[in-house]
Order: sequence, then structure tokens, then C-alpha cells
Amino acid sequence: MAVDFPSEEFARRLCEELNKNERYRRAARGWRWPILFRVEGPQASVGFILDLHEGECRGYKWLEDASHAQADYILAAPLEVWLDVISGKAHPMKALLARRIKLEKGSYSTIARYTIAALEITKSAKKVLEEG
Amino acid sequence: MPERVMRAAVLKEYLSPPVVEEVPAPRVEGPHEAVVRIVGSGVCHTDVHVWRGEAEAVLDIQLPLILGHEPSGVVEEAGEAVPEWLKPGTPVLVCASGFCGVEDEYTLSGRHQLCSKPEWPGLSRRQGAFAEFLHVPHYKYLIPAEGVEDLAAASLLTDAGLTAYNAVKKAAASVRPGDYVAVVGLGGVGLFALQLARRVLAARVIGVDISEEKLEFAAKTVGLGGEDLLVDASKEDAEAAIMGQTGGRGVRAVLDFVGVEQTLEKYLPLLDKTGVYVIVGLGSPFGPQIPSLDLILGERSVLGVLWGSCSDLAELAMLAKAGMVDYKSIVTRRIRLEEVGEAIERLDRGEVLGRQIVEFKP
Repeated sequence: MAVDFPSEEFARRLCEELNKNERYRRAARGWRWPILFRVEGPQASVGFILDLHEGECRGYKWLEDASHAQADYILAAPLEVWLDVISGKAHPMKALLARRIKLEKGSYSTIARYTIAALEITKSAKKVLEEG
Repeated sequence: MPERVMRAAVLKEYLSPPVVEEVPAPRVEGPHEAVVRIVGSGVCHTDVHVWRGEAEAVLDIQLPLILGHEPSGVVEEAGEAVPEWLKPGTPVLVCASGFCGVEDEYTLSGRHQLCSKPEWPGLSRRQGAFAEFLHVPHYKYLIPAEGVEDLAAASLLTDAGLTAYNAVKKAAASVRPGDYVAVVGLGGVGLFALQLARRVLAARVIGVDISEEKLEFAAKTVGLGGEDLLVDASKEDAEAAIMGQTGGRGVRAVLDFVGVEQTLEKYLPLLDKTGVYVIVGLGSPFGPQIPSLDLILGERSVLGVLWGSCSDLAELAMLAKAGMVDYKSIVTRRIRLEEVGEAIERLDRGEVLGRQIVEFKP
């Protein structure tokens, strides 16, 4: 069954996929903060929080209205930017540096240390969308 | 001609230790080129950024890659146009910051590190200096080092020393002899800055760090004077300490080797009017919020520093030969090539005082 992005099903499947991704697990050692991924729309923002901790996804939370949601790290971008990153057309950290993805909360110097983990998240996300 | 091989530490996968293996050794192919036999190669925090995969977002890097961009050595082979004073056997410092793929307005005006197509060894697609030999594309990137003691330790001059020297020179216009300069972050580069601010600017220095060990190491190695000060920002009110030491006036320059959100916000307001804030640390590329009102009301400046030029390195080499900069004491570990991976991971964990170097013994 096809999975849409963004959707609750996508968030659930991504969390599962990350827990199967050994490269993610190794690269994310030391990461201990939930991340809110917010997809900005013209009227409202949806999103999901992944509870990421030491290489494991401990859970997810889908948000129909993510406009005022909080997490230790908040990454926000329009849909097309997220799709560019997931498809591999855009490097996630380059998108951050170019402010295509906004780091609304959290430390860039910390998130930059986990570039490889970020790349593995995008690979897992792509797999979820491709495999349905 | 049979292919010559050399041992090198090759990064094949991010977050994995570099693999030490035999790879083809470089040879001179053009008249202006040289090959340097590496004697010392410093381990820098930028190597950590590359190892962690962070640098891909800003540098043109491709694995597998030999890291290492802070080298000293001896000329092994020289092209026919290389001058006599750089003939084989000459000890040299390698100006890696100058390796550039084009001649542009920056390289032609001596600001080599700002080249629009950098080919820095170990930080681009060009192989680096954690290897027995390094290919140098033009002899102009070699600074003769006769008279420089402990050539292996002198490798630190080519990056840590050079970056600190550029930062100190950027502050020079704002600092008179006897003025106070604050140095924030007392890793290898900060230790050079403390020395160079004292020696080159005749400034009084205030060194700031949040690590008691780094502060103790600075006290032991830098040779501070009675009017200099070290501040433990994790335990003391750094602003009060700095304003107290300067009689309420503030410092003439801040050299920030940390460069995260907190440091500029905290230390820029401590600048005297017309003072300069020099950011060197790559802690956060967006930088903190810059308090523009403080800048305007005091006509203060914020400047960035990226490494240094080859002419800066030549000047620094002269200072080293004259005994005006102590680079030897900043070396805290001399390691073998096989230990590069472990050295990078130690640095990543914040377990290093001063600087580590790979030392190649004959």
C-alpha cells in the first residue's frame, strides 16, 4: 500500500525502518533528543515527532496541527523541500545551511555532528516511500 | 618505472577509523611540483568534522580520502623549475591553505586561503598528509624551515599556528601595546593565539575556557605575565572577571576560537569601543544573534578568519626560528600513523589537551 508524505503512516513506518537501519544506529550514537519534523503549508502545518535516542526510534507522534508543537529540535520546511531531501536531490545538511530547512529550535553545532545519521534518516524515509 | 608505494591512513567510511595501507606514492610530474617526505602531520578538529561526515556539506570531499592538512617534512623530489633553495633534502613547512586550482584575485593578492577553487590536501579531493609522502602542486606552497627546531612539532605552525596568527593580525589595527585581548577557547589554536597576542601585539591577554584542564595546561605552557589572566567560565562570572581586570573598560579584541551561539552573545558586549571581535571557531555557521546596537554604538567590528596565507606562514616561520612562538609545548602526543583513528576519536570526545601529531621517524 502506498504511503503518503506527510502522514501518520509514514511517521510510523519511518520509526520502524530506522530501527532496522544498522548504519543509522551506529551514526546516531550519542543523539538523545526528539525531533519535530514540520511540513509547512499555506494555511497550516502538519508534522510528526520522532523520539530518537542513542540510535533507536522509541516512538512517534503524528500532529494534524504542528504549528505550536514543541520538541527539543524543530526542523521546518515546505513540502517540496522535504521531498527534495527524501529523494536525495538535496543533501539535508546543505538544505539546513541554505536555510531551506529551518532549524527553529536546537543547536546547529550538535545537529551537524550527526550528518551521517541525517543521511541515513533520509535513506530510510526514501525506502518507506518507495516500498509503500 | 616501477610504481612506488607508501603507507597512508585512508578514510574509507565516515565514522570508521582510517585504514592504514599501502597506496601509490606521489611523483613529481610537472616542473614546478614537489614531493615532500612527511615528518610531522597535526591532527586537527577539522579532521574530526571530515571523519564525522559533516564536511561534505561545505567541502568538495570524496571518499576514500587520506586526511591530514597540517604537515611539515623534507623535500624528497623536485621538478626542474623548483629553485635551488628548495632542493631535495630541504626541511619545509607546507602551506596547505594555499593549494588552489586557479589563480584568482585572492591568490594573486596573497590571500591564498580564500581561493575560489581550494584543493586543500585532506579537505578536498586531493589526498592529505597522514601519509609518508605528500604531492605539492607548486613549490610556492613550501616554506623553508632550516633553523626551525623539532620539525615534526613545527607542523602545527601550518594550521593551528597560522590560523591563530591570522586572527591576531586581524586584531592588530585595534590593539595598542598594553591593551587587553581576550582569547576564548584554549585548544591548540587558542594556545597559539595567547602567545602571539602577547608577542606580536604586545598585548595583555585574558584566556577563557570552561575546562579546568585546558586552563591549567595554558598556565603551564604559555608563559603568561603578571597582568594576564585565565578565566574558568564554567565556575566564574567571566564578564565580571574581564571587566574587573580591564578596569571596566573591556577588551580591545576578542579572538573567539569556539564560535557558538553563546560565545559571541556573551563576549561581544565586553569589547571596548572600536574593538574587534574575530570569529575563528566553526561552532555554528549561522552564528549567534549579533547585537547590532552594540556594534553601532561603539563602532565595533566583527571579522571572520579562515586559516591563513602562505606569506603569513613565512612570517610565522621566522617568528618560530627566532624563538618567539613555542609550538613544541603544544604537542601533547606524538603518535604513529596507525594511531590516527584513535587520535581523531579522542579529539572528538574532547579528551585532548594541546595538539596531537603523527610523527614519521626515518
